[in-house]
Amino acid sequence: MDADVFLVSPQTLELSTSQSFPRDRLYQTQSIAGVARTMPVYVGYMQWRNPETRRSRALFAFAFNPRDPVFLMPEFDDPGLIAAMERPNTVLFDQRSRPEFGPQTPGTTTEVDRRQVVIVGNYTLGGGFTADGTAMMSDQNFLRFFSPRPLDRIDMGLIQLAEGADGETVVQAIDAKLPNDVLVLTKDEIIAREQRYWLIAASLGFIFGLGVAVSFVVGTVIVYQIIYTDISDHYAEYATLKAMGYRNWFLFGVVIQEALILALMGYIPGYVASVAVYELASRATSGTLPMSMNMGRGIFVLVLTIAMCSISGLISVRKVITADPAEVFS
Amino acid sequence: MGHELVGMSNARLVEVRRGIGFIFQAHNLFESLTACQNVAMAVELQGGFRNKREQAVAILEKVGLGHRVDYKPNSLSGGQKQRVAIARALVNRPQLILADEPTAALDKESSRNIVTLLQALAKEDGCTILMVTHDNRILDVADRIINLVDGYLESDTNPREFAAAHDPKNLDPKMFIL
Repeated sequence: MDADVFLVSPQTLELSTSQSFPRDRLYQTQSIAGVARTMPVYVGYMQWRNPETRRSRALFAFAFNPRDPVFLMPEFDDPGLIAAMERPNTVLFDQRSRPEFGPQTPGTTTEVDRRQVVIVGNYTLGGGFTADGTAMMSDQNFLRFFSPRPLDRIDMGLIQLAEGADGETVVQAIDAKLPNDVLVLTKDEIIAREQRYWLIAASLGFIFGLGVAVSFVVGTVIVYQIIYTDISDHYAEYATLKAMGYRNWFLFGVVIQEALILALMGYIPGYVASVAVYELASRATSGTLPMSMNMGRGIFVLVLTIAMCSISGLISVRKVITADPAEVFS
Repeated sequence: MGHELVGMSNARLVEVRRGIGFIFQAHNLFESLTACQNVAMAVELQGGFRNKREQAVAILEKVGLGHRVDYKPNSLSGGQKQRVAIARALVNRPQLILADEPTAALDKESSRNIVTLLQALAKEDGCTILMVTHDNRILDVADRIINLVDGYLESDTNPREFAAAHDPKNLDPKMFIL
């Protein structure tokens, strides 16, 4: 979305379950210096009927004034598309919506909540955790499809700043002017807010976090078993080293080295496998789930792996340290 | 060596172990290392990182394995493995070598080679060898024989007296009559 400052209701947890707030709040900001343009955005779910199977499915819809440059996608540079959006009962359909919604080619006619609708164009956005598919429409069509929702209550207000205006000062000015029934956020803040919701507040993020914790513990146990077995297999050799006069520190080092090698050798195929799983997951959602293997995550997992193997190594090294060479050979 | 071993701290024990060469009944070589590396492991203990290979090769040549320097224990015969173990024990010129049945798994000829080798090298370096054995074929190389039966000292003699005492001709025929 092409905006610098966002207004949302304080009750909005994340975009798809937005609470509405008065459109007047958005208009109020226009008097503040530095605000160049304001654009109201409406969102909602509608029952989209697949014209082939005649089954309905919830589709996430964005609505806005077609003349507002709300989205940055290149498709909206086409004036014909804008004109088509302004006709009644038309929508733009997301090419990355799931195939269960049926054909997406422009000209397809189907029903939304007992009202005929025509697809007049496509764009490429993609759903997410909450939406299997998305569509966009004009605010006038939103009024038709989502009746009796009035247009004077909006879900999100977008504010574009004039060139050279400082985002922080404008945000503070808006914040000071508006009553506290709206939240004023910069673009970075609203992205962070959405991510925080999904990572922490939603059970989804918690489950993933728990998965990491559990696999860490299980991994520690498995690596401990591997190292312990290996130490048992080479017990005589460790005892020989000890009998020759090597210090415990040296044996320590050998076991830690082994653990590190194990960690690295396990990490490399694991990394490849998880990149493949990421790819699989993003294919399954037509490349729309915000999942990616980034540098930080890779290094974080590498550190976890090394920590896991080192802990296991330290636990299993006790057997060697307490070994009395005289007893091993008796 | 003038130390009481019982109750010694770990660090001191390590020091003592470094002054002793061990030869085990099973050779206890490191399977993943070559003969030379096995010996070099002992050299490293004395901090000889730079010329460990030269030292190891020199001692292997002395035990007659100059042509097997880069063989792994798996591809050596039992006698050769035991000779590598001897090389490992001797390479640091310890004051004392403890040998626990070094010939137990070997045939007569290899046993003989090994003990004469041990004896020669020990004389050369002036170290003491304490060998525990059941193998009476090699008793003649000893300078002193202590006969242990069931944990009790039975005799403490030199080889000649020991042989005389165990000569079948001197045995009392009565001991064969129940």
